[in-house]
Amino acid sequence: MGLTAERDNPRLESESYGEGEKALPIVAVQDLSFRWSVRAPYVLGIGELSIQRGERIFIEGPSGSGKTTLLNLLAGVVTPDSGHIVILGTDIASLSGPERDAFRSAHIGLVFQMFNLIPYLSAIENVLLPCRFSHARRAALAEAGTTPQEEAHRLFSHLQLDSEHLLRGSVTRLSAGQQQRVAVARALIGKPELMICDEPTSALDADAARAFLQLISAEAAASGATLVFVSHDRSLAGMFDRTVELPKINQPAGALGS
Amino acid sequence: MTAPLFGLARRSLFNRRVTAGLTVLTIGLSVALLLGVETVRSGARLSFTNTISSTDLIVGARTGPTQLLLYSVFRIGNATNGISYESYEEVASWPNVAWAVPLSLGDSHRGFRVLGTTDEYFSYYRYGRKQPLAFAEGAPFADAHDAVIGADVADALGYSIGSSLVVAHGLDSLGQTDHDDEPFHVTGVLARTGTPIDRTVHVSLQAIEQIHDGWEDGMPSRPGHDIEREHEHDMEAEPPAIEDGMPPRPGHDIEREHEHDMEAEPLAITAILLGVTSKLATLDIQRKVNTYEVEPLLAILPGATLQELWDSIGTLESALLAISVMVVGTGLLGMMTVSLAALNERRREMAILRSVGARPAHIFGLLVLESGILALAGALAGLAMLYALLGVLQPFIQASFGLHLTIDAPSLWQWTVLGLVVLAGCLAGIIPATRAYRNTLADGLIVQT
Repeated sequence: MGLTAERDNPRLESESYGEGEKALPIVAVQDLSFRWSVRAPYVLGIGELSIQRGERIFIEGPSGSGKTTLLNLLAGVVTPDSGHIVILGTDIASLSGPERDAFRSAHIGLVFQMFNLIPYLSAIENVLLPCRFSHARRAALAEAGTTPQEEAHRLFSHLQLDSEHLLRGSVTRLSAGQQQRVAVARALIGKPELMICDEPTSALDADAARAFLQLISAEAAASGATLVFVSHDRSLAGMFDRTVELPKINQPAGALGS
Repeated sequence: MTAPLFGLARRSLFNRRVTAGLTVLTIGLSVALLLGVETVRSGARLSFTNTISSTDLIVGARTGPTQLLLYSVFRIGNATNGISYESYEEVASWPNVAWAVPLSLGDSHRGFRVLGTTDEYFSYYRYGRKQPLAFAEGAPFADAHDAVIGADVADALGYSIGSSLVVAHGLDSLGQTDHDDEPFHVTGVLARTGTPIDRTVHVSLQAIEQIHDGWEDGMPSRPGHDIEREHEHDMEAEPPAIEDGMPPRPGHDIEREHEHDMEAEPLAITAILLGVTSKLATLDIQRKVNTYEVEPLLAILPGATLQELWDSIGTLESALLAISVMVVGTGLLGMMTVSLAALNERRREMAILRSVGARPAHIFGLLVLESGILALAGALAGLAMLYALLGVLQPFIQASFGLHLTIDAPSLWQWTVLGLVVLAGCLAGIIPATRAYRNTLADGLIVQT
């Protein structure tokens, strides 16, 4: 299955997300409910959540508030029991497993907490991984007139990772901050529209965390990606356009009054 | 889909190179064992069936057909009884008998069997695909002091034309019964045949007779050796003496005297190789031998008995093969265990791969591929070990067992085995792969550890 199809497929673009319709959100969640199994209680019940294109949004909530589950849903790793998750005009809740995988690899870059990298690959190989799996990302780079390697190096220099020696060696020799920047470069290669970060600063001290945040928001802006940042650390909220407090929008108890 | 995976599988295995290396070693050893067993088996079968050809019947004293074949052709074990020389002459004179070559066994030279025969042996004996015996150098024996040696004898003892050797009475190789006074001279060295002939010293029947006469004569002068020699003599050499219906007597002297009487006639023969004028006569002559009234004789068809013998050890051979197959299975099972055990600590790795676009099917493929690569490396390592072992052991096996193992390019059978090992490896990889696939779906992108 050609992954480029995701961008050209008329069905997927049925809601026609184009230049002229900037008002249409990049992410629109509606009447979402989710539980891990039929007998388990609902962990998520979200009436509405929409994220505009280019927005830098901070989703804040304490541990256990359903942040991780929401990320899994947005990334299309799990599907909701009911409701819609429309990303770039495609309701990923209605896609098949392989379609969701392809959609994710084409349009979403992910950065997690620590140990984000494949330990047996070098930094540069880690960054090139999405291009290995996603034809869409390779195609996007080709369209921009660059190669994955060139783009990786460009991202590295933007993210202040320019020691060739470090980038060719084992990633386990990199510091925590360097590892997270490598992960950001990997999330952004091939210009995915959406970048989702899950507590990426948890292993960094406050100063490093702020510096890191500045870097990724600049880089996300430069590549035109919408940034969804999930954390329990309220002190970071000031660096974003908007903050969503998950406990306020999440009413899992009755899963949307049903 | 495999293109992005192959590099990953390779790097991932390299990352775990100690366990991966041990797994490859385990599989390699088991594959080498399997291929080795098969090589020895086919080598043994070949040298077995190639040992004798063009001989229509083998005649010996009545015993088991297999036993007759073993001692007359393979020089394994001993004849419990002999055939009188008259019987040999009688059988040789029958119509439709084209040729009859007498064989007399029971003596040895430094661990190699000595075969007393006539020079017709060199013209009628055939091995392999009806190949005649060829002389690497020299010629058949001409008189009672000449000897013709097989290729292994020449190699092992460093003999060549003109070397002198002494024959021990009996089969003990320690040499205490050597007859220093009656040396033989090598007049011919046979080209290598890959059969027990390579390990045989051939002398004339007269020579055998002389050895035994000489032994009788030498007795009184060397009392220190008496008992030992007598003992051997009883055990190995002159079965007719015992067979003759003598009441059991404890004293060796009397027995020996009796033997001496027997040897008034030319000595007993161990077996006769027969050629017939027409294949149709073979069964007739066989029947005639088996019903011969003067003494109990047995005639066997070498081909049929070879097959019977091979079949009788076939069970053992299949058992060995089955065991080696199980050993390969154990190796693959070990690989599966290692792979399964590593899965838990690789959950995060799988989640990261998924986050960068790998589908669950990719994760599945990655694990199957890893197993396949290990099995392939193991199979190739096994092949390499087989050749290394063959290279080192082949001369030793040739020298000790007379078994020639050919070192050829891998046969179709071997390639098939290697292919099956790789296939089985991939199949073994399905179990951890399925497990990883399920983990991946359950874990999602974030592994809670």
